[in-house]
Amino acid sequence: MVENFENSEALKKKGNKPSDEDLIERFQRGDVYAFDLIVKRYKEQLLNFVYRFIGNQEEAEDIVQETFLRVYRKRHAYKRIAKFSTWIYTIAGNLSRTELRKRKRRKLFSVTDMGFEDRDYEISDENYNPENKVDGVIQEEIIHHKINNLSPKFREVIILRDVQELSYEEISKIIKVPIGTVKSRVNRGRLKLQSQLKDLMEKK
Amino acid sequence: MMETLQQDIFDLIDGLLPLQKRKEIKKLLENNQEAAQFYQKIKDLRSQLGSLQSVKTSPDFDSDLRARIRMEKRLGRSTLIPEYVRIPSLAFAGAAAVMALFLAFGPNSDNFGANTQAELPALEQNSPNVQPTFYTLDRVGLNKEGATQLSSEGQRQAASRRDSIRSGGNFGEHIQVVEF
Repeated sequence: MVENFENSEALKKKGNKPSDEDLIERFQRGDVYAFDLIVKRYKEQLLNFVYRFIGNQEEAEDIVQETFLRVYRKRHAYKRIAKFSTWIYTIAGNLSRTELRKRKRRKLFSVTDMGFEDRDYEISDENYNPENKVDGVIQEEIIHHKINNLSPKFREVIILRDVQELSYEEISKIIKVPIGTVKSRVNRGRLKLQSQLKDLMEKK
Repeated sequence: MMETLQQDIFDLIDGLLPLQKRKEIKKLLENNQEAAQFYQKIKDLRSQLGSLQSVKTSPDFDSDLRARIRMEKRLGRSTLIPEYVRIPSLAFAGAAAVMALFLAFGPNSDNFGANTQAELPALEQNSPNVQPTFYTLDRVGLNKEGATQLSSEGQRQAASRRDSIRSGGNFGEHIQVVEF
């Protein structure tokens, strides 16, 4: 089945690139190599979305795997009326939001469990000031950190629009809010991010 | 800066403005320094975000996914049968199992408990004052049609109660409640 992503016959065929929708339909009919192609096509794309959204690569990989597992399990639930990319992004987005909610709950418990003495040793987020050492990788880290400082509703649309470059229409379908709301969130998110990255942008 | 102008600048960056409007805004940017700065900042931000290094999946990603799919198949959670066929089939099988259990252990089966409540004579059933009478299994049997039927001793007991009710006697004296 997924035994060999790299050597599957379908991958060897050149010059004939089936659409995502063709692939999932082939998979629905039992062509397991089509699933290999879907994985190959989407794993990095989804990983980048989820990683930027939840901020941890290991957890992001786990969520992306779970996304593919859901596609595998629920393949017959996909109907061609929607774009496949919208469907798979919706699954990944839902799983990421669930993870963020779980994390919030865990954080709430761990902070309330701490004594006052413990809290004194917590590293304050304000102490994080990597703007002082701006260069290549560090600059990336700053941007990543600032994206993570946005609230999830702004973060998600900023990643989908400005990092992944999806259309407003598709984002609207993925997160199930009207296009106008998506545009407004993207613009407000950009303003927040721009103000947070002011120093970095001016140093450039 | 005016909010509408800000919105137009965002739309310009997103490529959402019609040609004529795009020309208008570009002309305006040439004469409005504040607006031009805003346009440049947002454009820079977008280009920064768009050029973020993409992260790669770990070398184990594919093998881990394969293992998870294998585990999934072993647990039998996935099948090539579509859900719209699988779910009704499972529901039907479940209902059939419940039915089979009901027939095997239901009130009309021989396996149903040690005691049973036999049908009361019609007169007793219709009387609001009469409490149900319980008979032990030795007084209740099944007739040819499979319905419960009182044994001869049970029938005598029921007839005695019926007579008592007809003659206006004290029901309580004749009601024999068997301790189970």
